[in-house]
Amino acid sequence: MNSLIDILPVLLAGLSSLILFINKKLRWNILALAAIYVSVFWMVLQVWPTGLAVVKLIAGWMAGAILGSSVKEDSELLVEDKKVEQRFKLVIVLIIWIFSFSIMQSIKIRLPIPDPLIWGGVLLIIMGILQIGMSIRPIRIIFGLLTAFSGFEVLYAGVEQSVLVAGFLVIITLGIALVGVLFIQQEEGEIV
Amino acid sequence: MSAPFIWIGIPMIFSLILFFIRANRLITIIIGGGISAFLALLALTFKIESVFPLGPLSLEISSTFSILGRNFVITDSERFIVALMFSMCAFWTSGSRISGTNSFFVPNVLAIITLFMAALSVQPFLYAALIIEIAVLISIPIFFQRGQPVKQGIIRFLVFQTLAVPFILFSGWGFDSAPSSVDSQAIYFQAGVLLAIGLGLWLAIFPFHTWVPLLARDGHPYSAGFIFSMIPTTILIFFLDFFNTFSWLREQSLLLTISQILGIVMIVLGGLFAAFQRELTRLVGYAVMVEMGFSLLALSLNQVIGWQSYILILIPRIIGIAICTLAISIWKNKELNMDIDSFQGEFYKSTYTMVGFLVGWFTFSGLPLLPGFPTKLPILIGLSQISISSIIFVSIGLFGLLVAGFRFLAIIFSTSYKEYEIESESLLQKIFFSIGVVLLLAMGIFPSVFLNPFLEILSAFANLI
Repeated sequence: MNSLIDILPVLLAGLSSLILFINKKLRWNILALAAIYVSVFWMVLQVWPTGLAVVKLIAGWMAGAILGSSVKEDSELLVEDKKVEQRFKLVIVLIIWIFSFSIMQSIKIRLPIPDPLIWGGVLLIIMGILQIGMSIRPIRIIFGLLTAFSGFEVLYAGVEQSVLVAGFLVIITLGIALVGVLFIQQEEGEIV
Repeated sequence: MSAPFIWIGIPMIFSLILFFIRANRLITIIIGGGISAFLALLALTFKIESVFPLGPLSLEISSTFSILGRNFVITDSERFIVALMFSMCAFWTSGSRISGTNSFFVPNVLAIITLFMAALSVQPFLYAALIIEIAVLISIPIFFQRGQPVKQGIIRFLVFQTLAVPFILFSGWGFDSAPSSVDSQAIYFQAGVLLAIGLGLWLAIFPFHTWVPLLARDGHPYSAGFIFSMIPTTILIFFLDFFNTFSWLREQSLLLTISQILGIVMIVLGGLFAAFQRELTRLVGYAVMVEMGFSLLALSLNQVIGWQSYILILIPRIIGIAICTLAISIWKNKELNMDIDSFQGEFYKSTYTMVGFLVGWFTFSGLPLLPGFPTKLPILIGLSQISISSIIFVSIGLFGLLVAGFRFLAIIFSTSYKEYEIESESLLQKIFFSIGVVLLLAMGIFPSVFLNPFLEILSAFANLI
C-alpha cells in the first residue's frame, strides 16, 4: 500500500501537465513546467539519493527559465485561451488518463520499480505525447517533449542510477529547452 | 595520449572555437574541413596501441579514455570507421560554401561527427543513444533558413529522434537484465521489440518514415542531406555492433523476416512515391527511404555477402545524397520553383549541377556503371535465393526511382538551347560536382578498386565475417 506522500507527486504531475496542456498562457505554462519537475524530483527521491535527484529539479527549472526568458512581452506566443478548445482538451485528457491507468498493470509486470514512479512516469509520457500530437506551435511541442522526456526520466530512474546517465539526461533536457529558444528566435527572425 | 582524445576531444575543441568565429565563413570552412581531413588521414596512417618513435621521444596512442566509470574505446580495427566519418565530414564541410547553408553548419557538423564518434566508441554502447540525441539537438540550427519560420519537417525530425531515446535505453536495460531473470526469453523478446521501435524512429523505418520527405522539403536541403546520410550511417554501424555482440540476435529468424518485410515496404513506398512526386526537394527524401530499405534487406540476409553490401552501400549513398542536395540547394538559392515541370531546359543553364544531380539520382536507382549497381546487386542476388516474389517488389521500387529520374531527364532537355540563357556556374561549383561525379563513376566502374577497401570497416565486427 502506498502512502499519501508517495501518491501526492503523481497527483501534482497530473495536475501540472493538465495545466500545461490546456492553458496557453506562457507564464502559467512555465509555472506548470516547474511544478512538473518538482513532481519528478519528488518521485525520483523514492529511488535515488537526494543529491542526485535534485539534479533533475534544477535542470528542469533551468529549462523553464531558459524558455520563459526568451519570450518577449509583446510576443505572439502570449495568446488567449478559447473556452471550447479547453473543454475539448479536458475531455481528451480524461479519456487518456483512463487509458493510461488501464495499461499500468501490464507495465508493472514488466518494470520492477515502485508503483508511484510507474503512474507518474506513464502519466507524464502520455500527456507529453498528447501535447506533441495536438500542437502546431513549436514552443508547445517543446513543452510536450519536455513533459514526455521527464516522464521517461522518472521511469528510467527506477532502473538506472548512473551519474553519467543523469548528466547526459540533464544535457538533453537543457538542450531541448535551448532548441525551443532557437525556435522562438527563428520565428521572430533573430537567428538566421 | 589516447585515441578518443585525438578523435573526439580535439575536434570537439575545434568545433567550439569554430562556433565562436562562425561569422567568418571561409575561415571556418578551411579550418573545419582541414581538421576533418587531417584526422581522417591520421586514422588511416597511425596505428592505435603501437609505439611511434619521435626523435628521442616515443609516442603511444592508447585505445581507451575513461570518464565517470565509463570508457570511450577506439581500437585499431575501428580506425577505418573513424577515417570514414571524418573524410565525410571534410566532404560535407567543403561543399557548404556553395550550398549557402547558414553559419552554424561547419562548427555544428564537426561537433555532430565528433559526437557520432563518441557514440560509436562509448562502452557500454547503449549510452550511445544519449550521445546521438545530443547530436540531434545540435543539428537543429543547421536547418534554419533566412527569413523562414520553423517548419513542420524540422519539428517532426526532432520529435521522432527524441522519442527514440527511451526505447533504445529501455531495450538496453532489458538486454542487461535478461540473463539474470527467471523469464529471460520474454525479457529478451520485449527488449528486442523496444529496440526495433527505437531503431525505426531513428532510421525513419516504416511507419515512422514521415519526417524524411518533410525534412527534405522544410529544412535547408544540404543540411537535410547531411542528416539523411550521416545519422543512418552512424546508427547502422551502431546496430552492426549489436549484431556483432549479441550472437542470439543473428539467430532470430523473426527479426530477420521483419527486417526483410520492412525493407521491401520501404523500397516499394519510396520508389512509388518518388515516381509520382512533383517536388524536387521531397524526391531526395523518397530516395533516402529506398536506401534505408536496402540497408534493412542487407541486414536481413545475415550472410557475409549481406554484411559486405551493408557497408559498401553506405559510401555511394553519402556521396550521392551530398551532390543531389547540393544541386537542390543551388537551385533553391536561385529561387527556382522546386516543381520539376519548372526545370524545362535547365540542363543548358546549369550543366554541371544537373549532371551531378542526375549521377547522384541514378546511383540511388542502381543504374549499371554507377556504384548503386555493384552494391545493390549482391543484396538482390542474396534475396533471390530466399524469395523470388521479394525481388519483384524491390524491382518495382527501383523502377519507381528510374521513372522519376527519366521523367526529370525528359523535362530538363525539353527546350531548345539558347545561348543567352546560359548562367555561369562558379569554379568551386564545377570542381565539387566534377569530384562527386568522378568519384561515383570510378566506384561504379571499378568497384573492387574504389569500394572494396572500405570493407576494412568490417574488421571491427569480427563475429560477422
